[in-house]
Amino acid sequence: MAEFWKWPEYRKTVPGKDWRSAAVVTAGIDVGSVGSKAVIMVDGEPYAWAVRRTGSNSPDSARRVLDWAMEGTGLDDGKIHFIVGTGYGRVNVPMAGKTITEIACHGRGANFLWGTSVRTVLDVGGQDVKAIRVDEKGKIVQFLMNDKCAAGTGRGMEVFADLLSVPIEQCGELSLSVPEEPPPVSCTCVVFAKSEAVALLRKGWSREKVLAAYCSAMAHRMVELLNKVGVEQEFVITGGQSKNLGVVRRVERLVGFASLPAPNTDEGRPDPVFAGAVGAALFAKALYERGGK
Amino acid sequence: MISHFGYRDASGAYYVSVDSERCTGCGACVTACPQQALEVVRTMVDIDEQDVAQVKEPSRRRLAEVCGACASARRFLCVVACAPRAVGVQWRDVTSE
Repeated sequence: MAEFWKWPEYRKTVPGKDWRSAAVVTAGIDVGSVGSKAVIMVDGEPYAWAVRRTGSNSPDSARRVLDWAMEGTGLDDGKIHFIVGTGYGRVNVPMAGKTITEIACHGRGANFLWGTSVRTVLDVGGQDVKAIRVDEKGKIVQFLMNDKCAAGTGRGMEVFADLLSVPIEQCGELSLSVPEEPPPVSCTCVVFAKSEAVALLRKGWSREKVLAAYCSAMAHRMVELLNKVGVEQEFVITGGQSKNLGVVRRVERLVGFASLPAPNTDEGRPDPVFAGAVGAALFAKALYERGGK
Repeated sequence: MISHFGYRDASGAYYVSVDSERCTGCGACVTACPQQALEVVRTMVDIDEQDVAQVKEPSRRRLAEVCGACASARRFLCVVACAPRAVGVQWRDVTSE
């Protein structure tokens, strides 16, 4: 049976860069509930990165994703000066010299990836959503995390992809193809939304219409969080759902302005899924330079 | 940094907020809370560590219930106890309006 929820794992090494000629090599490992990300930086610039699905065992996930990021580079743990762990599973990053909350790392990472004009960061992960306001240094001014439940997050989207037999990378686009926007599903709770989706399909709704109704419900929930902290331009979206255009476009419609486009991977910038790991690697550099090893 | 703990649902909006720039980590709010819903934790603010008050994780999902007594008395004891005015509560219960 095809597994429609399975999003692709990938890695990259920036060509033409060599860690051997660098003064400081650091790494950030962000173990999320759904994906584990590692970013290796040389002198504060991204050098190699990888993302894999998080296994049931967090320490193992951290190990696997760091190993994959280092693959073919000649690096090993001993050659990395400082490692910072972050994310939902941050307590389970055994090789980390320090763990830092993902809120701080996302703020710092967004500031690096998009520049100092970023003021609002919406991080949509596999199991929670965070609305973060940052200053020009990437320092957190205010934040709110949905602690109520995992409703309206990436994990919910995976469940929908499987239910509707639509590959997860296509769900967002497909949801935007509806001629008219349906009302949002009444509940973003993964369990209830699933039975609601089944009922809508039985009623004759198309898959794209059901997806549109779910993406719309997710977007409404995210904008509630954003409104609490206050949403100000420039605005960026990080985390796995930054790739889901069905959610991104609807959030933009609701807040009234566009989010900044993803940085260019060909110019040596990891995509927004890595924002937390980028921030962690930058903190690792700051901590190393301060003599914190 | 202002951290908001809480949520909005069909019944209203419930948030306890802590400003880390004002919080001294003294724990007066922790002692004052009749529900033991607060704690002081060492956390990274930028790259420095600081003791800051926060709402305990299980309580964050059920603030409407946890803070209910203070809300009915219209006197949030954590807010009253906080000398540097770092703790704030936003409370809107639409069911009682």
